[in-house]
Amino acid sequence: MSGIFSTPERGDFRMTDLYTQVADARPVRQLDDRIVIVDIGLAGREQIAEGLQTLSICEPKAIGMDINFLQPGENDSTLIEAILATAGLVVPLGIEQKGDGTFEVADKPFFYDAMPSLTYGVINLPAERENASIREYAVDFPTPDGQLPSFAMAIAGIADPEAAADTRRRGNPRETIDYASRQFRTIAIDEIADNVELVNGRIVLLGALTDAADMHSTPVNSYVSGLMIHAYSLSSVLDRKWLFVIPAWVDHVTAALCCFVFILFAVLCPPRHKWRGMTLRIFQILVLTFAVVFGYMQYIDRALVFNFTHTLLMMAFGLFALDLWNGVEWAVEKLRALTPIKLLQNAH
Amino acid sequence: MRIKLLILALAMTIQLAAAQHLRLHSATDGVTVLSGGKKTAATAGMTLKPVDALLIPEGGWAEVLNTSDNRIYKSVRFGQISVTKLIIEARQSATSKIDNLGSKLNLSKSTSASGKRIYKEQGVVNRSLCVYDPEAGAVEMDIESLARYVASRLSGDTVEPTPEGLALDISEAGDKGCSVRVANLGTTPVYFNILSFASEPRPRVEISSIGQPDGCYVLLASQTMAREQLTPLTNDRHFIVMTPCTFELDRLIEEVNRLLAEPGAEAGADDQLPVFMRTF
Repeated sequence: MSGIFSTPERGDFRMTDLYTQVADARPVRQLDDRIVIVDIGLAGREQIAEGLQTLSICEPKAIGMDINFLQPGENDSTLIEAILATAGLVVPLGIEQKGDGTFEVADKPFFYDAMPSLTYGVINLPAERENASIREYAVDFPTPDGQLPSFAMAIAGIADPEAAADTRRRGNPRETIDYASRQFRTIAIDEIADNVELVNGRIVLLGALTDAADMHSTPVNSYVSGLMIHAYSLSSVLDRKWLFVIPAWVDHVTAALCCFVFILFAVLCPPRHKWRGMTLRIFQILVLTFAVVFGYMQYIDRALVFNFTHTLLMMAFGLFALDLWNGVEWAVEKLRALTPIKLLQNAH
Repeated sequence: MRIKLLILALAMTIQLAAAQHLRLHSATDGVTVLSGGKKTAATAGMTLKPVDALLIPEGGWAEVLNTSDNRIYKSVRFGQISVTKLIIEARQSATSKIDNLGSKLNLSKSTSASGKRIYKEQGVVNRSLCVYDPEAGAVEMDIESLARYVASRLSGDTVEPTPEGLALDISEAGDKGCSVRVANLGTTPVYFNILSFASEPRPRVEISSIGQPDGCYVLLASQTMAREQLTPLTNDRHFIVMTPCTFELDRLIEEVNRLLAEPGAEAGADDQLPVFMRTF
């Protein structure tokens, strides 16, 4: 199943990826017009500064600028003025993890020390390992100087403080991003003035959609820009869309029970019964189908995540063990049928 | 009578109000809109009425945006379908969880011969290529469609007009070899390779000695490239295949040779594929 729903090179699969892909393939999508993405393309600092000034006039609810100016340019006065004059602006920070599980600021804009009062949001995306799918957004990052909000949470803190507070109240360091069936409006940086009504009162995310260095894999697409992932994360925060993952022990208990019932049936069913093999296989397929359908329904209707991976694996291994046992029984029977063994038994 | 007129007026008002909220969000090429007896090409953003019909060709799709709730409804079949029916069918399909799973878990081999896909995402993304060409670096030509196109044009000499923005200079000097010069005067990168076609002992395609055996040649806008061989080329004919994004050479050769081995298998090639071929 992992080979079907993830690229084999990554070997990176979770049951929620299956559910997300199925849900994303539905023919009805939601255009989330709370968030507008402004693509800077190949724009330089002057054009970005102009874009910020235009956005300011359009009075958006908040602006998240996913562009990290690490080094000063030749003439940044316009840019700095635009940043200072833009209300509700969140600027990016990059962090690195220390050995004790906390984080420290690593990639900061050149104006970070001079403008500490700006709202900063961490743009790092959590993943299990390098090149793994981005499935979650971080809520806050603990640093020696306190908690730093993630980019999405920092923007939500301005646009919808209640939603940000509700997310924090859950007490989880990370939450699942809801990728399925949603889309965002995208305009180019030089089209802002022609789309005032799209920007006014909305949350604007400003950044590059085609920066090859900022492309990541997600459960629904293997090549998504970091900016777009922040949009999905923010949308999930605003929707208060949280998934409840059923505890792992439920999966283990289910696996043990299913395996027990399955093997019991296999043992009780007469070995010579002509339908035994077919019945076992049909039962296995039915359990697999139930796991997938039930899991998907719970994911869509109740935001519950059931992970049936161990159940399916244990049943497969149980069946394999049964086949192995049947093979050994058959081999012993054949050996017993040979004459030398019969003579040995007669001698006894 | 008065009540009936009132209800009719109300229904028309609602219809009109609803009509203002329906727009064509996006559609594939070839989709047309039939409105008031007139047929027009579908363009994103155009206003639609519930009674308008969309003519969707096989393999195509259309999406309708209802601005009152910002829901986007995608067509689930091709053919002629009213906007209202499209929305209803999309809703029904979206709410049927068994259908959702069934469509995603369809493991049967696709038997379509019409080549619905042109591009697809690459399984493993080449980061250097993405830096080179951010827009098309992560996609590749669909090999089945491309192979069918190439195989269908190998039967005779292919002299298509050179596309705008491209300059191609091929000079063959018999025993003195051959030189190929390509200039990309357009605004987007082009990907190409040079293959050869041999008819004996059986029709087959191979990489040309002046082709690129590992990947494709890539020319960014305002770039040129020249490749020359000073000795005669082997095989009967050589041809350039040029596309807007990369393609897997080995798979293309394999697929074209498979089609050449089955006469008639290349039928159904998409003439509108964004491919340029020139034989020499």
